Amino acid sequence: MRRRDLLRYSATAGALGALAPIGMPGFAVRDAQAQGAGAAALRWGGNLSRTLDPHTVYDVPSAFTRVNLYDCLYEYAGNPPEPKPLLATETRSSADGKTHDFTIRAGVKFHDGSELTAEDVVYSFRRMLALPQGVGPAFRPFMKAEGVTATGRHSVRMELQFPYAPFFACLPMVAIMNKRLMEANTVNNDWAAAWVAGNDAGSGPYKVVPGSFRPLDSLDMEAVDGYWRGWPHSRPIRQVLCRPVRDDATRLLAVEKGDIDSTHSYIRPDQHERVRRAPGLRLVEEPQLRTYLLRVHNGRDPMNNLDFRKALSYAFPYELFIQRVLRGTAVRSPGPLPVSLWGHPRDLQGYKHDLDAARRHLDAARRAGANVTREITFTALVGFDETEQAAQLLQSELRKIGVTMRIAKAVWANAVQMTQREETSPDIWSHWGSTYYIDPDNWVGQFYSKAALGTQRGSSWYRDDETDGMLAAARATLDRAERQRLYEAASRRLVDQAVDVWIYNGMAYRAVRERVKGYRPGAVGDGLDLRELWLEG
Amino acid sequence: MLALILRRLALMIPVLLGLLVLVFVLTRIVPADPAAVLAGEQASPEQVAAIRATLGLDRPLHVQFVRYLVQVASGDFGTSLYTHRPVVQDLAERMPATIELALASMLLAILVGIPLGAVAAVRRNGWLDQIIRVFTIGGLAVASFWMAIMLQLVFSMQLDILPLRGRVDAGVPAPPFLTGLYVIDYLLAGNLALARHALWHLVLPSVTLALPATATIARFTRSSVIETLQKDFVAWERAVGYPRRVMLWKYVLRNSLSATVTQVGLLFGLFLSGSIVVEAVFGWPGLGDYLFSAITTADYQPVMATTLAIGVIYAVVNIMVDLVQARIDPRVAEQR
Amino acid sequence: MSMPAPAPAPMLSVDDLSVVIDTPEGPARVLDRASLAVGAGEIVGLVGESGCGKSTLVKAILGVLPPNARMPEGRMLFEGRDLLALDEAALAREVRGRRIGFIPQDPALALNPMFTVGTQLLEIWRWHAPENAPDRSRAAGRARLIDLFRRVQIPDPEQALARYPHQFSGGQRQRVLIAAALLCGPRLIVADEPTTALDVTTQQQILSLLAELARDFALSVLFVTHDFGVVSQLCSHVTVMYAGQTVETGTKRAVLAAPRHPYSAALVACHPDRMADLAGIPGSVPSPLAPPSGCRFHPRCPEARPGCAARPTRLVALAGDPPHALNCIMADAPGPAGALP
Repeated sequence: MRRRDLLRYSATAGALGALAPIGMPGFAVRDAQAQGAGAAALRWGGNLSRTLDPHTVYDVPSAFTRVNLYDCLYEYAGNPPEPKPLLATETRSSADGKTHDFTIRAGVKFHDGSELTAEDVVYSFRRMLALPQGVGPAFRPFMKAEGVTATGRHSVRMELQFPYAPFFACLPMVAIMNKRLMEANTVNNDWAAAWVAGNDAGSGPYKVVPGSFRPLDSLDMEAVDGYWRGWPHSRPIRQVLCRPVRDDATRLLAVEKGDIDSTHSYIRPDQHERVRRAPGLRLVEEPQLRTYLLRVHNGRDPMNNLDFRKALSYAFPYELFIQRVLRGTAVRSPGPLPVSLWGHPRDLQGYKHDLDAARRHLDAARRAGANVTREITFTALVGFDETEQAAQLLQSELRKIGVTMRIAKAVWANAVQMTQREETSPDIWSHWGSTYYIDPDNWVGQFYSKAALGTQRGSSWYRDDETDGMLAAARATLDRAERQRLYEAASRRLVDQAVDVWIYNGMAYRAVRERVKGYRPGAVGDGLDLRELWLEG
Repeated sequence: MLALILRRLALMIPVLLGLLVLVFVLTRIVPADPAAVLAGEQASPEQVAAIRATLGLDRPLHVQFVRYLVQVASGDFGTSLYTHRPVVQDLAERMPATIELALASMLLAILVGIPLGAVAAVRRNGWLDQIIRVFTIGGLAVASFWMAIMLQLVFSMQLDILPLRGRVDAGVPAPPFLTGLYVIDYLLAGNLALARHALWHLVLPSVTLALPATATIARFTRSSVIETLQKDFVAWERAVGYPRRVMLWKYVLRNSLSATVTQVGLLFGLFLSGSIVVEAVFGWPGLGDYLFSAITTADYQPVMATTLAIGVIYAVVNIMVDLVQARIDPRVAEQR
Repeated sequence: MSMPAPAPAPMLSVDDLSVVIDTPEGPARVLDRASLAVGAGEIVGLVGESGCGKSTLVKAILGVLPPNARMPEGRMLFEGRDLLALDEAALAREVRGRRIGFIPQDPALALNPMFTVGTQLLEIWRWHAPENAPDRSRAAGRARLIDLFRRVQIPDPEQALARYPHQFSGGQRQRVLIAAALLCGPRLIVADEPTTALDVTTQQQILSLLAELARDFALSVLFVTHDFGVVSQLCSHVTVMYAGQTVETGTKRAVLAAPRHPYSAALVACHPDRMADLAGIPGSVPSPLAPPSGCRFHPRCPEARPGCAARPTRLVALAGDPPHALNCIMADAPGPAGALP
């Protein structure tokens, strides 16, 4: 045990001990706790990532710590969210779209009191690019470490290898880290990965209470006095105790009881009524760009036949799935892009559940020589019931038109492995199109470019020069109107080719206690701005 | 006794080596590529291949195994691909939680199960025996997650006398690490209030975990006591005038315990595996949650180390069971 | 209903005692009006085939019958106290181990394997140290036990206390059990076939030891056996049982020299062999679930006559000295006049 842990322990334990004299029943300690420092703390019940390192993991829970412990050059703001400057005060881009000069805000302090400078920005980008996992893979295709340089104490130049339009949308992914602190904690050239997995090196509104992080289990954060953006509320939350609850039933009980102030954002549709009725609780709807789709192996017989794929698209009972399984908590998304995002054609109709049409296309496929009698396999994901429910619905509809489909199961890691090679890739599987950066490229570009082949993103095994050309062109130009035109055209083409079966755009649901005020969902994942919150009473 | 311990420890080595091989092979033959999962959804095939090479996963299996053996032999159980923390550190935080829960459950199961079984045997076919029989059948039949939720609803939500989840409440600091068992560590730190606080948190999960084991122990004790009561020495003890109470609770029970103690060793395995469900429901930060998340992301070093650690715990507990048995039954001590 | 009653009241007298065990097949009358008397200083041999009720009688005397057994009739007096009137706890407290010592049949199984001999024997002392003992402490019990161990010729008596039963030989274990029986100064020793499980040489040693101890401690002994050889060597009196009934009782001389009951006669005739088969008497002991009518022995009796099956017989004292009683139609003939109260 380290010395500061001991001090922390002694102080708090001493205080608690004094509040709960010996001889009182055990639960009195909790009351004392609730009346003491604990009551002013937000008890966040959202999931925790296994690491606090903002560069190596990029998922829904990690947004919570990335946004609140760190600052980035850009952040997402507005509705629908767009990338807006944060640490950057001025951005100048060259006409060819390859060179970008950023002016960094002066006077921003890291949690250790040192000033955030261009050196820190350069260090952070180089680190992100050097690490094999997490954020890096999104940048490495267009950016090299040498391309990031400091041109002054507060100015940074980034040179891309080719013009890349989603670049600005990607900037909120990169947390700016304290170079001096990181280098002091670097062991064996590890970019301080081991250290920063449990500590913070940020300049954000909150900082980690040292030693409090236990992966998946707990994290304590404290507000940073004098945070440069200030605190919008007069009594902001000083202390945040993250206590994720893994079990579904216990999670609801915990938030009903007040053990936690909020749950994660996956409250199941069948639990919504219960949360709405529970005293002291409210159900927060968080609009999501996340899409849900079935991936179809376009390179394998019979799915390599357009009519067979159209038969699949007509066979899926979209309304039934959204109304019954999701209890109406999602909107139908007819194409590859989230319906609220620019680039999605407003008039796109997509496919409807229509077994007659499905039969017609199946007959056409049969006539064209597709092996429509082969049993195809739907690989559902273990632990994600929705994928299995989708599989069952599709299976029963396909049976009606004479197509036999088997349901297999795989864990995520297993499915990822399968999709790396065309031969092992599933006939059909399903996943969510999560938001990494808010740009149409995040969905269409990542899923349907030829560059994605060999990863789970390219698991449709779709090879189409024309679409690939449109997606590449949309990446290369900074002209927003032109990009929109290209994405709309690509979306229509993908739908015409029935490449995948696109199903819905989801809504996330979180149970939040009434005493939590000012709650506003984050743009990406759990990345809400805790500064806006306060506790009533 | 010392010789017995040493011999058992020596026997453990091949068992653990076997376990090591098994775990290694299992984590390597599952069709999940740690590199691909680690790389994330944005990675390209080349990037995944690079990670694979960095991790040495592109080397032949036997080379990887030898490297792993060398690594383990030097006391290095690897690093999690995700947390970047040494697996040993994660285990040091989480293993005590699982052990505390398992020990508390075992204690509970023994302290309740043995007397229940003995009473049932002595009052064989009486109403008390019938009640105990219903309890034991129920204890084995009830699913532990259901039991857990019922206990939470009644004792935490309705009556509000026991905490819902966790080892301590949010904001209560962990005790200084001595044994890793919170109740004991708080006590050693001299904080009685927090020791009680931790004990209170231990109640519902350990009761849930202990229930099926209590039933098993009660059943074994019952049949064992009934068998012992038929023995000649019981007739002799009665005939020479041992008071009934002394005879039953001292002389008969000790003879019956041998079978029960063997069960306890086996049941500890049940505690360790059962703790995965119970830990999840009660938010108990033990090995179950850790292993689960490691398996789903193919984080193979923690998977191997955790499995090995569970194997060691199980083996050590069973050695202890043997020692206890040798203490109970002098003939066992001589045979071994 | 009749006993040859010597003038002084016997130390132990069992009169017309019946024991019924409730089995799934129905009630089994394993003892049927059995009678027995052991006078002060007497060594009474209780003889009969396996299953004739000897062990049940011993259990009844010690009060350790199984829970499904009941005693619907009879009387048991020990030192003038009515044993049937005492409950289990009182028996355990006041009689067993204290006034009546018990030597079991199989020394290999009779001791608890999990405890040292010292622990088990001193447990008896703990609850039954005699009131008149000068020192009832555990240390005193230990000292007395070491003395007794020496007396029954157990080598290294002090170390022996710390040893477990399985660390003794069969003969030594029986010596340990004898010491246990003597520990608290009982007046009566009940020995249930104590030599059956031992080899012949050891048997002899144990028998002479018992005879010597009975003499030196002035003990009464009820010695259960199926071996008339043992009886002739050790006993002063004999009681013969068959099918849960006492068929003949008297001094050793009277019964051995001139057995009156055909069953006793057959037993004596087959001496010294074991009772594997009764010389010249075919058949086996009848089941207590369905005993024959009348005299229970009549289906096997070489001298059975028409009246034997008709009515039950009673134990009747024979005229003359030494005292001798018989349960047979032949003795019954004189009628009520010959019967003792």
